[in-house]
Amino acid sequence: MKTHLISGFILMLLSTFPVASAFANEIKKSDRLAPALTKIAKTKIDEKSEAEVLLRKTRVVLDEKGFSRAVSYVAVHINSDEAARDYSQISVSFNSFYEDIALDFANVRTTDGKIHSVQPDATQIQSPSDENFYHDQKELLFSLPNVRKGSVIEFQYTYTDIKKIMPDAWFDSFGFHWWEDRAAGQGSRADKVALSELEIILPESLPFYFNDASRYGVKLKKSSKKNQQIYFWQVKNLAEVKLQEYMQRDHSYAAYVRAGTVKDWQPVAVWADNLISPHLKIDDKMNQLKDEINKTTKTPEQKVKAVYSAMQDKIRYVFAHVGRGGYEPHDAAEVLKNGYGDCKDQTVFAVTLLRALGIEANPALIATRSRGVPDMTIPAVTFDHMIVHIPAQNGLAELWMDTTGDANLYPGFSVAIEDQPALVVNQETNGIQFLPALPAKEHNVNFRLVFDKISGKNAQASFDIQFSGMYEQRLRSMWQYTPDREKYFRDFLKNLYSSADIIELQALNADSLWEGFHIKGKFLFSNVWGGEKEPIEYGFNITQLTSLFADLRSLDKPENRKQRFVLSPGYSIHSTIIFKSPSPHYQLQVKTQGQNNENSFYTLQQSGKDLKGQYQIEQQLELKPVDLSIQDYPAYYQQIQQLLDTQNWSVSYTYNTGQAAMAAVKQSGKSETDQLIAIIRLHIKNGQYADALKVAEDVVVKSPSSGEAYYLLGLAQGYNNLLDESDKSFHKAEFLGYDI
Amino acid sequence: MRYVVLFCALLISGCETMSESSNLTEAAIKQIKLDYQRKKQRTELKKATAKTEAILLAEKERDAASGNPETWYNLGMVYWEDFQKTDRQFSHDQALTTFESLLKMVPGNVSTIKAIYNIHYRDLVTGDLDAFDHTQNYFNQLNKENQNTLNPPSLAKFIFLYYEQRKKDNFDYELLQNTLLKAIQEQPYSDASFIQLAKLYTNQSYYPLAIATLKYGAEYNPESVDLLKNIASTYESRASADGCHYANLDWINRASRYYLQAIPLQPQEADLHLKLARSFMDRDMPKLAAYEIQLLLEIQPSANNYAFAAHNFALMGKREMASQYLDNAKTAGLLASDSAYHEVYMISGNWLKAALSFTDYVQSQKHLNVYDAIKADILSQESKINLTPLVAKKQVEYLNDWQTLIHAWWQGKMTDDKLQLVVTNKCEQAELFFYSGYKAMLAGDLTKAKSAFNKTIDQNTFRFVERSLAKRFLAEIQ
Repeated sequence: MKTHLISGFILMLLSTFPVASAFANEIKKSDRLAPALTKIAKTKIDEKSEAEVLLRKTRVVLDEKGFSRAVSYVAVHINSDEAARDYSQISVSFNSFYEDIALDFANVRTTDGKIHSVQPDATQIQSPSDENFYHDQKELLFSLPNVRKGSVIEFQYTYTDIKKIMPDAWFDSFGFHWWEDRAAGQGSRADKVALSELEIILPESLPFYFNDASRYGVKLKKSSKKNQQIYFWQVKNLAEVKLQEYMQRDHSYAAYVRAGTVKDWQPVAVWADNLISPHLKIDDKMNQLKDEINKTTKTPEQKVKAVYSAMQDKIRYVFAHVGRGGYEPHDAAEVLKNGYGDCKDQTVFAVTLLRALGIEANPALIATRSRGVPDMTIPAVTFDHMIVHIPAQNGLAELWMDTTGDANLYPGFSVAIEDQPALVVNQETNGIQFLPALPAKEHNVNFRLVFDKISGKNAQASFDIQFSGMYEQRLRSMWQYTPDREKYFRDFLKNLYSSADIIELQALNADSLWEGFHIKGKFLFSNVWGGEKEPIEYGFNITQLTSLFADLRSLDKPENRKQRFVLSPGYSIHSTIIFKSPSPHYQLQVKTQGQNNENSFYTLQQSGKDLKGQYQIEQQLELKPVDLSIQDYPAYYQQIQQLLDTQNWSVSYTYNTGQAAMAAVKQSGKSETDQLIAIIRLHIKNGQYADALKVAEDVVVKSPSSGEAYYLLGLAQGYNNLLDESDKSFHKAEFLGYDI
Repeated sequence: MRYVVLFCALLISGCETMSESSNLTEAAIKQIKLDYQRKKQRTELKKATAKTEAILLAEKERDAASGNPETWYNLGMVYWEDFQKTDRQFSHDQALTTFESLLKMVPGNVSTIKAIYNIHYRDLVTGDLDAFDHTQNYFNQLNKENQNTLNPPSLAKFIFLYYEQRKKDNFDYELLQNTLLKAIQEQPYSDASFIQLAKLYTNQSYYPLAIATLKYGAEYNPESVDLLKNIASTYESRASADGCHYANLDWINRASRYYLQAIPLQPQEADLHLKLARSFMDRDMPKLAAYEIQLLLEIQPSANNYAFAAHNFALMGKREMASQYLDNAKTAGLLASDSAYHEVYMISGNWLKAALSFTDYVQSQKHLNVYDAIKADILSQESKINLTPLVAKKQVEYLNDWQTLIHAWWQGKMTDDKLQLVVTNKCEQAELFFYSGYKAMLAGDLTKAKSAFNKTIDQNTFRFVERSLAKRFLAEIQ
């Protein structure tokens, strides 16, 4: 059965023993569900819309065993060339293990009133290309003739259940929009809908549960007839749904109904447990492995890590479901023998081994982020992944372990499963759990840059970047899977300083299960320094890092934002930048400083410290997870623009002629008094009045007859606000013959 | 933004003592900020936000070529000029916003940074203490070469602090001095910082420190006329510190040297020639003084300068030239009540004219000084016009003890010996000798009179009227 979920992603269906459908022998075309096309075509349309669904109508009929037959009709008015391209080919997906599909008809009414039907050779069933996945997912594909601006297209198809996922249970989701894939794989569209209807007919003996769709303006009418309960939903004039970045993960942005015959989650958990438990079988080889682990580990945590390590070593991840329905795992022993398995195989193997080691563990079904957050109020088998749940027990905190990643950091907890709904598979489970959401600090880039070598006209800077959370996963994955990864990373990091070359690059821990992925290297800046005695200018802005590791410049302008804005998870960037002085004879000038900003969306703290010979900048940016209405979004956008406009750190080291002169004086070979007098003058010139005073006091003791010494003492005293003393010193200078 | 620099220069040139508070109390800072905000609000309430034609035109040009930085710069300048004329906060804010936007377009552009700097500088001078950080921020973005074309941030802070403290008549010298020292460190090529610092020291009578500071400034700015002038005038102030610069002619000599250094750098500045002429007179160099006076009159033939010339030529004994210049002064608008008239006539021996012009002088004065009172008696005696009733209507003001005592002595309330005991310098001595001589002459004791008049001349107080009169009377009785 095609999923009617808004996102249109693959729905993984579970099956125990395939139960044949009462409809299985009746996979035939259905009668037309809608009025005649000529009548539908007269519906008043919105001329401004590119396309408008004139009618979307679905009728689902269930039998006593929960098998369903669903007929779907769609009619669309095409009002633009782009819509014509998108609607020229229609694709309807289904799982061939559980359901069958038939195209009842597909027609196009052109602007001259003629009706053209789809040709038989323009219809086919095909598998979507995905080299890593062997599964039963298929597509009904057909091309419509003469689709132009002004045409009205219609099509109707029928799904028929041939096997059940859960025995005696039925569940499904229905969207009131029609989600059409855009041409050339450019996403999908959900156009405006004039009228959308859903009818579900089922025996009165079956329990029936569904969500409240009234907030979308959907009206529900319940009725019964001849021992059948009839539910009829209808909604008119639904606005188009524009998908944007940073939308909420739940599916509430489009009207839907989720319905089923299961009241709570326990039956689902029990059914899954009954499906999986028989495969948790240990054999001699697994026992051997268990013994090896026991020999080398003592604590429960060590044992869990050993199992994780064993998974990485011995079991490759391969998705293979052809002819099996999608959720029945292989035996644990078989997985070890084959040396490969998909998520449920790996989970079964891990759980079996953990239990053999005395660690309490269960499989957990989970809907990953790629599916968003489905409505979990109506139980359904709506999961696309399986991981291991280890509850808190002696010596172990609660742990969610995902072994399917290739050499992922232990325990494989990735952003794909963070804060997602999961169903722990055992007989006692009666509800959904959400996995923990990591704080922004745990999704972190830690960037360190030290300008540590200045040679000739060039400068070098060493960088060291450490990652955690989603950054660790993403960058590790990039390193593992990108062809010509060195070049890729050099090009990637070069965006930090476009004028610099990366002369060294090292990736560490790319395959480590225990230490995070880590990059080190060196930048070379050519012709940035004029040489000895010339100033050197350094600069850095936090936006150099946000450009690389965040996506802040592509935010929708407030007037273009149509959906809630959700940033999840939050993340953080920390940097330490060290600028070094070319030599001790240089003095620091901080020309501009980065600003701090704290608001409800992010905090930015920046500070600089003169460490004598080098200047250190620390920056800490934390973007908080947010969930904002359209009304609140402009404030967020404005604050982000302020962040993007934040001032640079601009630091220069300039040659301290005074200091150099000081050194030159000391090396000049002049008499001590002359040297000291020169030093006093330099101190005064450099504004070091206290130092000048100290030396001057010293000189007049050493050379009591030097009028010049007293003169300079008078000046130094004056600039230290010792005015009376200054006057006396000047008089003494005059007395000694110094011409004031 | 030269005019902002000039504005500041005007603000500080010729200022009297300023003092500083490096550590204003928190309450004081709060009050300053509050006053500034209120002033800003009053300005905002008064001024509208309408755009002038010039602004509209500049905006139109900017909009037509918004990618051209020059149009932005021009717009900013138009707003700034409007603010300078009208004091409208709107124009000020628009100027700032425009330049800030421009700087984002052309980061590091020197002209733009300077424009923004000058706005904040002006704000700081007029009381916005928060602008100090902004001035430093933009100042630091410039390299040394460009910084040296601007007045430093701390100088603006100094100007503001000085005027605040002057309002309260409560100066914190240490704060002001420290602020100026910072200004010197920020930008040592601004002579204003050195000059103001020296003035602070001068006003506290720390002359050597003031001179040393100015000379230190001259090391950075060897061709600064202002610095050289101030060195010279500080020497003169030092010479006069104890009340009689003739006792310290060496300082006058040094002052002359610096006027002589300044003149080639700015030969058309009349004041330099005037001061140099005066110092030559003080040093008994009348020919050199005459030459400078001629130059002075060529450059600036004003009433006061003609009067100065008349006075000095009278002192030189050139009666006809003195008379001619006095007429020129009159033609140029010298008021009849000016003291130059009666003094020139007195020195020239024209007693009747002296008496008559003295009458004009007295009538214009609210109070008289002691010398006016004595002159009245001498003029009455020599001109045979009784000026006593005229003078009796006016109160005599004494500026120091000596004046009180010499007047008492003149009026016969004190003996010669007693007065002699309190003489402390040449100037006082010269006065005593002359007035004693005159009294003796009137009493018929010509021997005593001659002796006293000779002693007056020997004091070498070359520009004193008393010395010229002593010479005149001596010639008459010999």
